Amino acid sequence: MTVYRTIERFADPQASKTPVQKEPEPDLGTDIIPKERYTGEAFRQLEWDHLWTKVWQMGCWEGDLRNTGDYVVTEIGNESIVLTRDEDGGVNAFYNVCSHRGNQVAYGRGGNTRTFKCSYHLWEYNLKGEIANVPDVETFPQGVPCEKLAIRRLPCATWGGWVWFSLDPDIEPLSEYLGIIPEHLDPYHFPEMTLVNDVTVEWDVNWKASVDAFNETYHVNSTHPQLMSWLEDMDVQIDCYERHNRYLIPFGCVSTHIEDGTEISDGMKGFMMMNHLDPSSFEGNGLDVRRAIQKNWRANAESLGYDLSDLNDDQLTDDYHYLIFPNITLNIHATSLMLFRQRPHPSDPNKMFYDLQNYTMVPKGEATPPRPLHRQFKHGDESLGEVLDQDSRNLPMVQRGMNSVGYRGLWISDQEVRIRHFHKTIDDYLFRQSIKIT
Amino acid sequence: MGYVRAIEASLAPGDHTTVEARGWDLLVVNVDGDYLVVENSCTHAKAELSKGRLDGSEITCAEHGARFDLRSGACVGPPATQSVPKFDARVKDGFVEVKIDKIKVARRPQFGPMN
Repeated sequence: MTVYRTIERFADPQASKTPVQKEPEPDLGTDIIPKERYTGEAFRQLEWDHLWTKVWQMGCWEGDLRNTGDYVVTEIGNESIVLTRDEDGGVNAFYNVCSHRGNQVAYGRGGNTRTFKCSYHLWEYNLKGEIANVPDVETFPQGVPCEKLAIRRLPCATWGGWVWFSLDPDIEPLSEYLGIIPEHLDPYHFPEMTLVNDVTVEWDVNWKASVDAFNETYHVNSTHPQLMSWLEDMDVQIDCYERHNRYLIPFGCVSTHIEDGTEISDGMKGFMMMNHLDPSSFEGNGLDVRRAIQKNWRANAESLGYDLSDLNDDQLTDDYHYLIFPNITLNIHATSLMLFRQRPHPSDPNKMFYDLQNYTMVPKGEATPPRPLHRQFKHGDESLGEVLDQDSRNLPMVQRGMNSVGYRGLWISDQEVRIRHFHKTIDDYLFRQSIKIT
Repeated sequence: MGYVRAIEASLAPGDHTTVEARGWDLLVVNVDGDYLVVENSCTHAKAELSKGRLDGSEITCAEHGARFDLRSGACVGPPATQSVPKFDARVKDGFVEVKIDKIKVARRPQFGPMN
């Protein structure tokens, strides 16, 4: 496709708190990415042994652990994990399993409690997973050593308004694992945002195909034709870091693939209204909208109840889109955040759980909306909104194709280099760990 | 809810019109004497199907060329992949009545630019 324009970038990189300089292009080769990575049982097991049990994982929104005794049950693979806020104000993660006979101790998705009581024989644990009470304790001739029988704890820490845990007791500190992420994203003040949408969709696709679907803009023109009139799909800055990566997608501009960039479509008008710029009184054309929104935010953010002073101008319109390896995708705007968490199915590489959360910055003086109820449903049973419906429609067909004898593997363009970087990082985990001599 | 009166049954074969009913934008076409009704919106990029080209019971979207069979609503040509909502219609007392069981409600509130 012809490209008719370039996108004007933020003028002064030094003035931006979020680093904006382009990273050097990674040299990741041009090989086919084998399809077996998405379909094979052997690869699924490798991922469990060397990836899922070796990384930091986002466990829950910290807003769900605001008060002492708040707890959340989260699941990854076959493991169920309890996250708690204890009496000392700390966060804890431990396996959801009773040390007595192996039953679970926390039920449902979460709540508030003083202790966890196993439903089988009423063994009781405190908010740190330590033994609080064992009925008929005198009938255990071997004793009930509290230290030995505390539920196995996991590394647990907070960043960005979320509680993170790892199944690897020896993992590096969260801050080290996150690397560049806090420096890049703290200017958005995620911990001050509020959760407004919380769903889980059961998808018939490998978890990586779902991650891939959001990490390239090559598909915008074909899958989301309606977006071409109000965001850029070609002139997108891609940066790959050690294990995480990002791209910066200009919003509020007509795609540079469209020759006439002056039109202001209904989609563009919607984006303008969402950014408090009235399209009916706007005198510029489509080429002026992006800068006009940025100026408008600078002039009016404070009176609208927002403090956007830590963000650069481009952040006031664009989607700063990050992948926190391996499975957290963040679509970040000045006052809103859309988060995806892809979780693998416990046994079937052709299935996954797609967690979709939206967060919003509530303006000063406005009431915080109540926490939305979590909903879980099968793909297709409910709409996720037009754009995500378009994305998700492709995916079951992609998974069927991956399983076809007629398909070899992923043939990747430069526009899709984040996918290559993602797989390279997966390889770093899978094969670094397996050759490590311990 | 059932049938709702949409237009006067005065279209000549091969002619079409648009009408709004119970929140739906509808395309009404007279194909060989049968009134066929679908949502007036291409499932690819939301263009108005009424601006497309009619060939028998098949309509080709003017925007990107997606094709639909108006008798079933089925998509029969790319780049669309989803069928277009199809509504049963009947002629009664000189009017075309369309069976609409569900009011099309306004979009739910937006959480962010993308959903």
